[in-house]
Amino acid sequence: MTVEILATSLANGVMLGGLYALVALGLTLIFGVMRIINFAHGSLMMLAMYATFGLATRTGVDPYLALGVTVPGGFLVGWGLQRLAIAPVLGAPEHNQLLMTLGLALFLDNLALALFTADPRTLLTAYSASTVAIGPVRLNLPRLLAFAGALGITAALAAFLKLTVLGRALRAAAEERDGAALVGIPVRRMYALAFGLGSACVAAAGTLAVPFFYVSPEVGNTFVITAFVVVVLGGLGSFPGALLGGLAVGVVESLGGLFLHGSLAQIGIFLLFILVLLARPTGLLGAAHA
Amino acid sequence: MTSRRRFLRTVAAAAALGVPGTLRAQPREVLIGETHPLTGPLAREGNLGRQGIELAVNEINAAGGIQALGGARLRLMVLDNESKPPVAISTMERLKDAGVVAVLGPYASGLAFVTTQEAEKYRIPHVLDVAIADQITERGFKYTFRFSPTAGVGAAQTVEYLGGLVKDFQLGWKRAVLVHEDGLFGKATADTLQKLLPTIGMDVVDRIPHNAQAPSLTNEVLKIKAARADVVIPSTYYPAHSLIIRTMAEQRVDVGAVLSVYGGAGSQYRFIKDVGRLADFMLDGNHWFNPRAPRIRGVIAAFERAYQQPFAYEWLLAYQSVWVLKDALERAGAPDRERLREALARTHLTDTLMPYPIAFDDKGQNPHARVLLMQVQGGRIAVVYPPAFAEARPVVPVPPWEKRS
Amino acid sequence: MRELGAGAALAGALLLPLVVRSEHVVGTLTLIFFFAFVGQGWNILGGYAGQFSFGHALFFGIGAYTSALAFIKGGISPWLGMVAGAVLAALVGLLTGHLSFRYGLRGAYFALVMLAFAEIFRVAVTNWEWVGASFGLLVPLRGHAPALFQFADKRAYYYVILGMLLALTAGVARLERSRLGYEMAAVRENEAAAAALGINPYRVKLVAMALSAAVTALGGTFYVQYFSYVDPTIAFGPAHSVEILLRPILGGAGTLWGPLLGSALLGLLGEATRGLVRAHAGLHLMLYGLILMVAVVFLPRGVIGLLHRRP
Repeated sequence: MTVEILATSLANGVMLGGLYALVALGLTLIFGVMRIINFAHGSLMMLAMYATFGLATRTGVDPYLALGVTVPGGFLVGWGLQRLAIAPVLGAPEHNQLLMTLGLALFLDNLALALFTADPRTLLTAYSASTVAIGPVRLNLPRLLAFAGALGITAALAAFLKLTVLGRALRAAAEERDGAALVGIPVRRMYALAFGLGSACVAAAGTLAVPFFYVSPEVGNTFVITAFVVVVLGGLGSFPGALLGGLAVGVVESLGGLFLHGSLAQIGIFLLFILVLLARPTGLLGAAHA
Repeated sequence: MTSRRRFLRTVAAAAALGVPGTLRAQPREVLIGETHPLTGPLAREGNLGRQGIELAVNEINAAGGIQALGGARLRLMVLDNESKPPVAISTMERLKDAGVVAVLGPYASGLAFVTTQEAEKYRIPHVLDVAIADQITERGFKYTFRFSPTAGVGAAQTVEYLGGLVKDFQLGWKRAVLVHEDGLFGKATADTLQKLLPTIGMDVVDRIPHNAQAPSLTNEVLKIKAARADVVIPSTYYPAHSLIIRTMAEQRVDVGAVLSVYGGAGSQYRFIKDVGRLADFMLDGNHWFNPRAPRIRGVIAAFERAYQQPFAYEWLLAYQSVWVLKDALERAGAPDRERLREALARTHLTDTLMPYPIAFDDKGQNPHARVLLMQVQGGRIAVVYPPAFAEARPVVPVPPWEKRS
Repeated sequence: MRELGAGAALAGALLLPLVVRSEHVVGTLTLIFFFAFVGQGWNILGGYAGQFSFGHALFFGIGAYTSALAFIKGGISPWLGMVAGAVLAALVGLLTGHLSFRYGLRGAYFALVMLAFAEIFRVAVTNWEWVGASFGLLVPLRGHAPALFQFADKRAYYYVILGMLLALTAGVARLERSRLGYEMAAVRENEAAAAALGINPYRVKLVAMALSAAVTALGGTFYVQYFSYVDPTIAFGPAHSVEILLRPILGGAGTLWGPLLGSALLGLLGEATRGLVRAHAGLHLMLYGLILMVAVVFLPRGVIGLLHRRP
């Protein structure tokens, strides 16, 4: 175990962590505003990945340019899904909301399976194996770009929420629904906005991942389970929590994998998840059950 | 539909019984069952198997069917087991209900465990394609027939070939690193390798398990780098091979060779399609055709024409299984399960597309089965070992990553 | 009138395998009864006590693996193994229930925690050689051995699961009318109010969990004897948890006949689409997803809820 290997593993963990953070961000935004745990989050990521792959292989569009399509596309799909599927159950008992997103996930995952088959696809670009050397450490270029992209989008989203009127309205609707409605904020539209933004985030994450990760119908779930852990760890609804949590989980996963057997690390993540849920069952926002 | 078919057969049988000796009606068709994963995670392989079987059946029928049965044509009943054992069991039930005389399939070991169990229960001869788990033919079953090599045999022979390479080319390789998926296939193969590698003078300096669904294998590749291996032997699934090679290229991890056991990457054209030049020089010990078999070129061309797919051993083994069945049907003389089973047990086929003759021991396994060692060279997959079957000279040690374009 | 109808249905069910020759039909019905059985097990905790678990495959798997292992390693009859599996599952249920309910986990959190527990078991079993690891367990064939829960004739399994289902239904019917049943309903409707009435929600939920776990585990043993095979994904996987809860949700959670109704509907739908679905993977799961979404909006109380809404 040399310093070079440790450093490379650490760097990899940070880069992947940025991507986890972006996925978690979308999840936590949706939860923060609507108190819904979106089981279909991974499915949306997966669809964005297939869209990116399809664009790249059929029209030669570079994955990073494809962001221009998948991010707005993800937003629109999220908005639409919220209106069609989520809005009808917003007043329903919580388990029905869960079942709705679960059903959506089942539907989307298997739609992808039917359309694209289970065969994992890899996209090779000219720079797929390119590296950036920082001292003895070689950083894979696509992963580095994904990290940079994730940070950029996170910053943009944070700025939007803090500085724009629309962003503040969204936060108001999240924190105090009835009060927000009273001052004229169209709460239902805020929900659709939140879902749209959350979906756009996860679509971006998917697109950024395509140059270094294979595309298959279950790939979204791999990322999303980790994102769930991140969100719960960082506190459901907390932005900084999602960001720091993502980085932390990425690093722990990477370094842990260096010393531990792969599957033990998986169990560790689930145990962590349970422990955090037991210790802070209601997250940072207090009692979350309407 | 089933009852109509049964009704017709009953009538035919009754009519046949009423007709003396040589005028007795021969069956026009022999019903063969096939269970393959046509959907689900194994759909790609299952469909290749289906295509291989279809090609063989069409060829046999076009050439006059089963001579000993008066030119009876083979008719296939193909069922999708969805890559799931419980569905596979249900397909066996339906095939039995339909009255098939034998069953082909199911490609995957996990599925084969249950289909052979059902075949034994229902007393239907079952000729397997691929399905490498050793235990399948270690249960004393009488109705299971596997002509291709097992996991254990494949691993042992691959080690033998590696030893041959090291000797023939004076490579002086001593350090081996095993990378395996942490499931049964990976672990069992790694265990076998760990036992056998010392017999060719190699030390296993590290054994690296990995999670089969891992999104990143960077840590594992870093460990390979730390181990300063002469040869890396992966026993894992296809997506992991892709990740390993790409990460090795990216991190410039140079070794003497990457040689997998039943890896699939070094002996599958889709790997070359997926990773391009990075696939070069990858070695794999796996099922393959016999390059010296006279008919093989024609069969590969026919398959490419019919299905626009290059060679893949998944369809080859399925294709071959039909011919094994055909040979047995000719010797059985009747579309009867018991007589077919007897005939299969007495099989001795030398005219095959495989690099080995086909016969079955009392456990239903072919003791002559053999894997070959292939290498990707310039976008083509060539057999490089053993010399009796080699098409090209192996490139060992492989060039370092920096030197490759 | 209703008694006559029920009697006719029962007689029909009993006579069916003797009249219908197709193994396939009998097999389909066997699976319908099976899913109704495990669905009812889930229903005890999820429907009657209102605690939705997304990880019930945990108990199913414990039942399946316990009895299979007892037989493979110790030659113990699966009938006994079945009981052991149920007891073990109940204990695990008590443990996970204690952790969850003591720390106030409800709704989505409880659902997710159960999922996490099931996943932990799945990964652990996948990596444990002694229990077959990722390969799973094959029950050795003994031909016709009723004492070992193995039958040469598949129809025997039909009768076994039918018997199990009838017994369970009778049991749950009594539970509905018992004091515990009322307490469960009270906790489901409004936990705080129930506590104010002197009911101990923690204890009620825990009992429901233990019962639910035990029943689901019994189903697990049946499954492994019927298919002679089980692996970690089949036993503990999230897909299986979904299969278990889908039937009672569709039929009507918290009702006696919901699980059977849901199972029958899905079973028939599965058969109807099987013919259509030749080349497309996962279409039936896609359908499940669609059904779930539609059911949640239009049938929030399941099909039975729809039937009861007549003016």
